[in-house]
Amino acid sequence: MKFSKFWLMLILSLSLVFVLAACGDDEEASGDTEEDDTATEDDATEDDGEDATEEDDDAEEGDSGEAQQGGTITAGMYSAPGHQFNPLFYSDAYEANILSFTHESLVQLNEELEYEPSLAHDWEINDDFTTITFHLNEGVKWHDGEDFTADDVYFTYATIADPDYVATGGVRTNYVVGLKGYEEYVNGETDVFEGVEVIDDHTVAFHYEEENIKMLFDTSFIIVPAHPFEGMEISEIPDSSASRDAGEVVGTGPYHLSDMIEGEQYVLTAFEDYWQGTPYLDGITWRVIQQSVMPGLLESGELDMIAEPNGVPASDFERVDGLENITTFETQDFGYQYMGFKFHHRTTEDVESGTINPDNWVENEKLSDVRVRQAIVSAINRQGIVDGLLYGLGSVMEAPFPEASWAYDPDAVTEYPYDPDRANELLDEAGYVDVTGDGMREDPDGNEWVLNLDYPTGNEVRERTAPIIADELGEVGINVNLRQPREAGPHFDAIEQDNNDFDLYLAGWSLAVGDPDPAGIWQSTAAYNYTRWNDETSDELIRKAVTAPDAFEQDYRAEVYNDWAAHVSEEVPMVFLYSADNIYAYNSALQNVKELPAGIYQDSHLWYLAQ
Amino acid sequence: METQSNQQVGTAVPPAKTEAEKSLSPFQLAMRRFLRNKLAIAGLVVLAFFIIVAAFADIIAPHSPTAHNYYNIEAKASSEHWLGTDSSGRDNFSRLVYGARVSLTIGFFAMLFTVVIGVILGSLAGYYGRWVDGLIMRATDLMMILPFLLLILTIIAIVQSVSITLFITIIAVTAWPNLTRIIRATFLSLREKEYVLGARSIGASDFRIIFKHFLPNAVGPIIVNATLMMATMIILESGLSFIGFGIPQPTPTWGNMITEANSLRILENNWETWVPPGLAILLTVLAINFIGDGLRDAFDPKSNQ
Repeated sequence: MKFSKFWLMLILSLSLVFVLAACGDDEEASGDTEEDDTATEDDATEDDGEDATEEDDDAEEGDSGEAQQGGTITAGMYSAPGHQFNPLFYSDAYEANILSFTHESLVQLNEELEYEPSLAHDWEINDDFTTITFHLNEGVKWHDGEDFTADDVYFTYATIADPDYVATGGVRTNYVVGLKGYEEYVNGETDVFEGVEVIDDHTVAFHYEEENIKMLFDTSFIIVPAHPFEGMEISEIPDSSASRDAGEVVGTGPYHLSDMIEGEQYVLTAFEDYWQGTPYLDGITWRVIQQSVMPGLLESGELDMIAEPNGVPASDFERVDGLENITTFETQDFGYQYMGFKFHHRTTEDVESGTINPDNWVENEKLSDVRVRQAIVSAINRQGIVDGLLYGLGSVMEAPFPEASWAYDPDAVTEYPYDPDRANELLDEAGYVDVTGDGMREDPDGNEWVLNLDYPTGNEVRERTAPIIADELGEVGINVNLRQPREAGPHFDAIEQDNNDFDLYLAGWSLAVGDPDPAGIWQSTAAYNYTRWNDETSDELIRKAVTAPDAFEQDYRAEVYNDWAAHVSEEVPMVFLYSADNIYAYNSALQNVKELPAGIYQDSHLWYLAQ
Repeated sequence: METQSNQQVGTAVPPAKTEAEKSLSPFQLAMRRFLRNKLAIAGLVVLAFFIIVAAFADIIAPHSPTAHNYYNIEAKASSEHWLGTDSSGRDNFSRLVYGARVSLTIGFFAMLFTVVIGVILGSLAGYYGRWVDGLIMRATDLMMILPFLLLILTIIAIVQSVSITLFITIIAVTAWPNLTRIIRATFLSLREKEYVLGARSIGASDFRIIFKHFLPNAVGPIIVNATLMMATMIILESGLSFIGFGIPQPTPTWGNMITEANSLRILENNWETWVPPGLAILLTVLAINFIGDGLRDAFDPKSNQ
């Protein structure tokens, strides 16, 4: 009796913790018991050599090594997807985790990073490299039973080229800008998009204004169906149920999104009429789980896969790698983590109308001096972050080409090793000195100089870097206002709609591996240009690198990218913190997983569980 | 509460008692009862220990609680780092010591402000009754139908940077309704007492009646609830920090330290990271609750041990 209140509090606070940490647990239990139980109860071993481990067996089916029907797997990601399952408008890596299973492209990347057939079984490129003609597979069905045709391809690209696309929040225009007739179409001068020509139901041609050296990359965008969006204005598409609701989202992929509890779990169910054959698995369930608890769940068998983005935290690599029931796969990441400088902010009117126009931007003078940015990058011990927080499983970079890319060249860039003295010098030189004697520098006019630092939760290494960065910048006299971390979704929204007081922010890019062309993120007018960096030299070099005919030579492009990387590393538009190795891990009972540089999601219809 | 009847007995019973016994005020009686309660004294000692640790954190802690070290992450206990280091290479022992300061500060001030709000509103409602009472009670109803934790989580999600001051304020503005109700109820029962009527009949001001007659008689429940509330606040801070909605890193709080044990790796390998802050929370809260219970018994005139 005396202690009842105490116990009540203890129980309440504990149950609160468990409820929040284990969201969606109950819902899950019924769906995914099968493979866990069989894996532990039986101990006969499977005799096909591959990846099978001791505890897998084939008691039920009898024929070892054969793919078996049935079973579901559970996969984990640490932040919830934003609520947009239309490939045309999605923007985060968590949504991509769903879309990778529900949608497909005309072509896909293989192990050598070359394109191979997917929805298109064949293609021809004309002699002057201005036209590519795809022959589409017949008998491909959308999840709702409709046939996939060339009209869907036209719809996909015409939507991206639509005058209202960018204002509606679309960020993929780099896939269509080179297409013939884009200017006319995007300006509303014509209703027919010349660039994509529907020849017949299963033949479609892409016409380019100029010779295009990365046609396959430009035509590798995910195809969406035309019929669910028929008669809709572009601006209505992102909010329509076919873009948002489980059961309504339609793709051609091997699984369809059948159910979801927003922010907790996303259920993908096998699509029986999948054109490459019904998937072996009955389904894949994505759960949103705190990163730090994932390895434990993997170990206990409650979780079967940890993949994009970033996979298993580096600190747990050794432990997970040592687990008998788990297969790990390590690759270099094509993406990177960075701390962005907000060079400009958009006005509220621009944000509301969805305009990306550098002429209207408002300069953020706190960061406009290049010496300040160089000082900031010098003051951060990035090698320390890689060595310590990433356990060496990553690399420091100075330009947005990670080591895995052919455009990477460490000699081309200016390096900024950790050097607080240099940082102090640069800041003194730029006139940022401490005039009030409080140990923190004021701006050249003697006004208070405080930089806001915003960061998201979810990625734990990134979360840990934030206070460390604030601390290290504090040591050279930069007053950083470290703000309350947000959930990933709201954080990225705030970065994108940047009519706020952001100065520094942490984020990361998962990059398309097909081509290193940085235009999608770095061209000043790109919607993804979150730093709102407006630099003519940079824009020019980016264009130059893809301008035919020289650009057919990869060496030439590499050279231009070196120039661009050198310019970027000189101007420091963001601090490239690190590129962490991706450590994917999955249950060894899961067979047929293709370990590609671009990830492990390809051909997921062939995945099966060894019984 | 029947404290005042005690008072009357004390003054009404004539000379049979000795001088010393006669002069015992209700407060002294309560103190005597409290000192006889061994658990409460033990609680007091433990709390005093943590208060001393918190006060002298600068001297006790061997390192800065926020200094990171890339090359000494998740270290085991050693002579340099008595409790090892956390996942950013910060010294766990120093964080534990400074954590006492943060947790106790939050516990104490959150309690203080809640009590201040609760006493003011509760006494206004209880004394004036009628529309003042109606207004304040509807306001408390309104606060109480909002789920307390969700409300706090929402406010914290909106606010951009949570400092200790802000955190205390947020808790205080959301946690006052309970105490307000208790104080109002006490006042309502006091309002019709003869000595209050007496005071009123000789023209004492409202202010005087509230401060001279009501508050001293309501001090028992106030102190007891305040003490228990402090324990609640410390738990609340730890819980919120644990789920990432409390004071953000790198500020050392016990809740922040326990968060590390989310990872199975740390839970299994680095017990020195999470056991000490867990114990610290347990001991502090237990101690405060013992004190609170001791006070409750002490202020209860019917308990005659």
